[in-house]
Amino acid sequence: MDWINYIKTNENKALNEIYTEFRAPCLNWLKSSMNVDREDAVEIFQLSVVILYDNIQKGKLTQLTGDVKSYLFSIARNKSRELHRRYQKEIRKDEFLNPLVSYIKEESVIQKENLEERIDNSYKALQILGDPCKTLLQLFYYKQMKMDDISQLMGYKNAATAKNQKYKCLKRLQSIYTDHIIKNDAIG
Amino acid sequence: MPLDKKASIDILDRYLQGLCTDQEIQSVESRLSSDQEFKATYEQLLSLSEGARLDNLNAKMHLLKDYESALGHSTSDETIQPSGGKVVKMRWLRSAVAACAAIVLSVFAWQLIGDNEESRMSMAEFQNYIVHDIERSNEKQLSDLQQVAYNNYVIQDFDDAIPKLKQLWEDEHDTIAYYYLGICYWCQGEETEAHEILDQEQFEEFKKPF
Repeated sequence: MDWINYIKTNENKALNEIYTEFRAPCLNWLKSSMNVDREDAVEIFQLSVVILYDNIQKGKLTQLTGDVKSYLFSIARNKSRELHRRYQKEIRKDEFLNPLVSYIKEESVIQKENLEERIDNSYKALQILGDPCKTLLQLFYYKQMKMDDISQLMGYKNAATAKNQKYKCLKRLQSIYTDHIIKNDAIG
Repeated sequence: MPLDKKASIDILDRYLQGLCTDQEIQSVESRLSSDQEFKATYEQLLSLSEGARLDNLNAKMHLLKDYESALGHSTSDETIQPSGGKVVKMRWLRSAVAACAAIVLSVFAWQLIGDNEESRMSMAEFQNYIVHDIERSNEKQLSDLQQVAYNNYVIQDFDDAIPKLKQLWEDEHDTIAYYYLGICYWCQGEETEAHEILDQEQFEEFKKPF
C-alpha cells in the first residue's frame, strides 16, 4: 500500500483507514510498552497520525523506508517520552500547551519569540476570514500548491484569477488583524 | 500594512516556496536585513503559513476524534445495563452464550500465554534494552536500513528485525544492531545464540537480560 500517495490524493479516507488499522496495536503497545494510560495513549496515537499527515503535506516525508506502522510507532514513542518528561516536571495535564501548537512551535522555522501568540493570531484571523479565502490561503501557504492547481480545484477561471483572489484575501486578512486581533489585544 | 504590497508578496511567496534564483535569494535576504516593512511582511506570511497549518491539523484532529467516538460506540466493552424491560426466559440461550464466552476466553488466554512465551520479558522491561537515540535530529543520521531495523526492534517485531540487524552487523559492523540481535534472540527463547553475542567483551557495559 502506497500510504503517502493515498494520503495525498484521498486524505480523509486514508486517515480513516490508518486510524482503524493501527489504533488497536498502537494503543496496546503504548499502554504495555510505554507505560501510558488509555486516555493518554489515544491522544498520543491521534497526534502521531496527524504528524504523519503533516510530514507528508509539508514534503518532509516523501518515501517510507519501512512500513507506515513502524513510522507511526516511532512518532508515538517520541511523543510518549515527551509526555513522561512533562509529567516528571510535575506539570499538571490541564496546563499542557495544546499538543498541536506545541508540535508546530518546535518544528517551526520562525524565530521562537512570541511564536505561540503569532500562530494563534493567524489561526483566529483565518477563522474570521472564512471560506473561500481560508481554503485558498491554506492550499497555497500550507499545502504549497501551485496557482494552476488551486484554480482547477476551486473552480477559478485560471491561475491569474486565483492569484488575484489571493491578494484580495490577504488584504481582508490584514484588515482582520487590524480591526479584530490587534484591537482585542489592546483591550485585553 | 504589510500584506497589501503585491510586489513584496510575490517575491516572498516565491522565496518561501523555494522557487527563487540565487540572485533573487541574495536580494531578498539583503532586503530582509535592511527593510523593516519588507521584513514585517515576511514574518506575517510565515505566521500565516503556520496559522494555516494549525487550522488544517486541527481539522484533521477533530476528524480523528470523530473516528474515535464512532469506534468507541461500536466496540465498547462496557457492560450494558438492562433497561428494566420484560425478561424473557431462554435458558438454552444463556447456556449457548456461556459456552461461546468460554471458547472465546480460552482462545484469548491461549494467545496471551503464547505472546508472553515469545517475548520472555515485559514490554516495560524491554525499554531498558533500547540504546539508540530516537530523537528526530539523530534519526536522520541513521541509514535507511538502520531506521527500519531499529523500528522493527523497538516495536518488538523480531521476525522482521533479525535479518536486517544481521545484515547491518555483517555489512557495516553496526555494534548496536549486533546487540539488538542478541536481545532479539533472547526474547525469542534462543538462549545459546543470545549468549554467543551478548557475552562478548564489546557488550560488557551493555545491559543484559540474564
